[in-house]
Amino acid sequence: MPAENAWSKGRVGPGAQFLDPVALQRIGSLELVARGVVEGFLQGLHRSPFLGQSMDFAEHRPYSPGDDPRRVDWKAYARTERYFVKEFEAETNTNFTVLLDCSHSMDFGEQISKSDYSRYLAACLSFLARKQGDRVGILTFDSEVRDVVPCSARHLELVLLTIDRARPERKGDFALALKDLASRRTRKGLVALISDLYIEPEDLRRPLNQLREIGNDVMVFHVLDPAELDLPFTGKFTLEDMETDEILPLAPEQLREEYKKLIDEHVAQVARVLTSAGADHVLVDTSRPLDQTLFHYLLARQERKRRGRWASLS
Amino acid sequence: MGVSFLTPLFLAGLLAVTVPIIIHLIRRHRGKIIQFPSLMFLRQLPIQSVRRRSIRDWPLLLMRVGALMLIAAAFARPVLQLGAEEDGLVQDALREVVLVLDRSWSMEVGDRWERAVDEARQTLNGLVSPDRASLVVFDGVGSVVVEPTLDPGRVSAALDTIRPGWGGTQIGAGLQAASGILQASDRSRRELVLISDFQRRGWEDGPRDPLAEGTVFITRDVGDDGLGSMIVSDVTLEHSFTEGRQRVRPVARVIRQGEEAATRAEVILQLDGQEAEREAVELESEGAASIGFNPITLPAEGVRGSVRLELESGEASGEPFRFVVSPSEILSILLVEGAPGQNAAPYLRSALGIQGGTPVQIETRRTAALSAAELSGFDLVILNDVPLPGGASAGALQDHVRSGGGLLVVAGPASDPQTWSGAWGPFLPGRLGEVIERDPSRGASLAQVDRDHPIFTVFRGAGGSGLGTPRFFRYHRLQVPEPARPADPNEASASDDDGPRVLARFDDGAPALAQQTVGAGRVLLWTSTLDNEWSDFPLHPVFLPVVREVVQFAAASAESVPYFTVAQPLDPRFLLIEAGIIPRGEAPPEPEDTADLPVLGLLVGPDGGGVDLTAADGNLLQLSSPGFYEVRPPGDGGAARWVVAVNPDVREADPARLDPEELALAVAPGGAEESGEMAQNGLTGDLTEGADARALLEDGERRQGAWRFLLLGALVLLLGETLLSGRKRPLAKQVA
Repeated sequence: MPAENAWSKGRVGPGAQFLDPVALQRIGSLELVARGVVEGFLQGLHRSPFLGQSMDFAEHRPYSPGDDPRRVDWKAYARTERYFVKEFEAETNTNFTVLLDCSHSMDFGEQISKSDYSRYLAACLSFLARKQGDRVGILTFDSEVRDVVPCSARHLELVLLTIDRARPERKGDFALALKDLASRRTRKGLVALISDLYIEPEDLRRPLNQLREIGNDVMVFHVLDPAELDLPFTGKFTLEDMETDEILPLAPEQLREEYKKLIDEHVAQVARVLTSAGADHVLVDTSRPLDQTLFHYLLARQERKRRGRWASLS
Repeated sequence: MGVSFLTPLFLAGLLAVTVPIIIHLIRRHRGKIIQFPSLMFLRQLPIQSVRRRSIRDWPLLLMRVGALMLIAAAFARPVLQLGAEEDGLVQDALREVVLVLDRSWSMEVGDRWERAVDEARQTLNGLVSPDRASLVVFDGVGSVVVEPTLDPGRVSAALDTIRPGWGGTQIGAGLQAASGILQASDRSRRELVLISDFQRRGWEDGPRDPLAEGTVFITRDVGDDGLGSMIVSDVTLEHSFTEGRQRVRPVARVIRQGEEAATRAEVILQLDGQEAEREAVELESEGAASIGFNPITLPAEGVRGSVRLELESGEASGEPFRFVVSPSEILSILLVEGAPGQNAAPYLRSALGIQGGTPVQIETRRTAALSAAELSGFDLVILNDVPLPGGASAGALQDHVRSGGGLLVVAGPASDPQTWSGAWGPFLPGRLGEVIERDPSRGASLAQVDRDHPIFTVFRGAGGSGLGTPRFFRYHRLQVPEPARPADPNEASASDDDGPRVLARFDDGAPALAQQTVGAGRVLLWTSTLDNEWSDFPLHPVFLPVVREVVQFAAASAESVPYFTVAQPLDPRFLLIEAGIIPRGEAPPEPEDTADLPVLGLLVGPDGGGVDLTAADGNLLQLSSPGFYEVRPPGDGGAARWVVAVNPDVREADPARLDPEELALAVAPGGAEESGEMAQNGLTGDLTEGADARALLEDGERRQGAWRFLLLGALVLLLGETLLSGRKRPLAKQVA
């Protein structure tokens, strides 16, 4: 839990509180396969000039004069009596940008607010990206763009600091934020949008297309509290819209089923729009552990990449 | 047996029951407020609007509506109705009771006021619902303090706010105010309860109108026999001129009233706060003495003076008598009358020569043949029942008037209009006609008096009705031409002032006094004599002030008044003129103009409070407490331009008392013979009839007691509503 992490004990710098060690330990074994879907990763499987543990084996090629004898695969020679040299693929150095929704509606949640959950998620993603050698950046927004940290290999601490300062206070408008991001980005990369997406799904299409046209790969984390999905309230009370202050007295028992249909339909429609725009949609339930969310997501991306390779080989 | 309501107007409060119904319909119970990220999906659900229009908490609604209905019904005071016969008895016994309370200065003596208030409260305690009660207080003026009400508590509360003032007593004024209430009442029993110390002068000096038929007159006497006092009743100022300087000799009149009053006292004259002189006085019972002090050489400005009495014990007796000594001009009058022994004017001469006020110098002529040189130097010419002069004398007299002199023509038997020169026609305010003979046993009285005219201003307010007491047996008819009606009514004022104007009429409408302005002077015509041949006017006290005021006005002279009495009406414009803020002779601001005028002057009282004289809007001022009042212009550094001395009504010190029984006989509508029973009731204060009906009324208290139970029921319902609405209910549980 965040209250028990190292940051709360005052031993590490700001932003580190979001890096749940347990989550990172489990996610760390996944490497950064998920980055494979990013074009920079797909196209940039450039040969790394460096040797080391961070390199993955890619293929064998016949030895030719001039090659470093230390790169000869002697095991392959034992099996085939031919000299092969190992080729390695290094991680890509792509831009990884988090778009973090700081609108007031994100401040909702019983056990953990969507805002806190999203900040943990953003921190984990940024940390992992940096661990894989990517340049990290962040853009926080509500009704306007609040903080922008450009992508850089040295900006992890700044990104974490920005995440730490992000507080949901005002009304949100991330269509504006996406448009602003599209105008800022000149280099393609990986974009992770973290929001509750209280927007008409069709309004997402245009800014996403703009990002895609630049060459970005977009992941959308659709963060919702279980209460938003199920409307579990009982009795008589009044709901107050956190962003418009509109109030609505009601008895939810009478509305629950209708509401669930509407929210499910909304989520499905968002997923359809994102998929059609080439983005990935992940519905994040804040009642689920954070690492589990990342784990499942990255597994899914890995699986998708694998399927994509097989499809291309066949 | 049905139900009626004492105050059915409160039933309109039943409309309030719609309020909780509307609230239940349009505002559902909100319960706990929960912040939710977005209502964009919930807004789309139509079921909300249907649920808003339904009443879901019927018990709560019924409790609220029921409580409101019970409260409205309780305030409407439901009464169980009696049968027809009983109801008739009750209707006959319903009372309209008017408490008439004396709050004159004399009620301050001893514990008279406290006893009067106790008597009033005892009367109120004797009332039975639904008797109506009201409260009238009077001193020189009667005023209604509490209009008729079913709630005696309102009258009782008002008693706590009233204290005796400094005014005189006019019992008749209080009875008049009470009569207005009783005559407007629909109650079968109308009772007037008079609580007073019954000063005799309080009845004799005021109006004496009888009460309406059917009024039960009850008296409560709180006076004390045997009390008396020695007081300064008056101060006159005798003006004289020595070596070109005016000197004034104050003369104080001290009276002793009552057997118990002290016999010896020191009379102390104070000038500008410093003791100037002291004289001893010793008086027998009901005795009086005039104490003359040394003459004072007047400074340029007025002097504030007072005379007070100090008893042998060192205690002060009564209020100091305040006055202002100011320089005065001598009024020069030429009195033209007939041959010696004929048309002698002893009353007129006496009235003009009386000490006090503006000093008057009178010169008598036996012929109206006057030259311009002879007329010069006179402020006023009085032609007292002599033929009007003709020829050169007429021209000289008319020129004298046009240049600012005054002329008073007194018509009598020697005034034969046929012999008057035609040159006097347009000069006089009317054409004199034949002599009218009135019934010698009744005569005529002054019925219509222009109390807005400066001559009669002092007779406004209570006590002014003395103008109606003289009887006139003969007078000349006077035909006053109608003033030409201007095309534009707004232009009427100037011409009205200059044209003939009737100031007083007899009861048959014939003019008694008329006025006309000629050039810079004034002509006044009195159509009867000023002796006791054609009237008994000179025999009445009102003769002296009327003659003084007529002469002052005709001569355009302002009398320097040394003091006023509490509640005496004062014209604000008069104060402004006397203070020199408005030049004498200049048209004073009209009342309708005062709203646009800047503040011209303030009247600052002894307590430091100020009154804007410009904003008086034409109303007369009545100063309510004794002391020195200063007329100041605004922003003049606080310097007083003129000082007014105000004294309490000294008549209040008169201990002579009126027998309440005598008063009851006097106010009886049918005469003394028929009022015996009423007077008896008045003395005892008991009701000798309607006992059964009173018993029914007292039973009515119990029949009206339903309001208590209704309020109790409402309280129970409201308590239940509080418990029901505040009960713990599941609010906004979240699913884990």
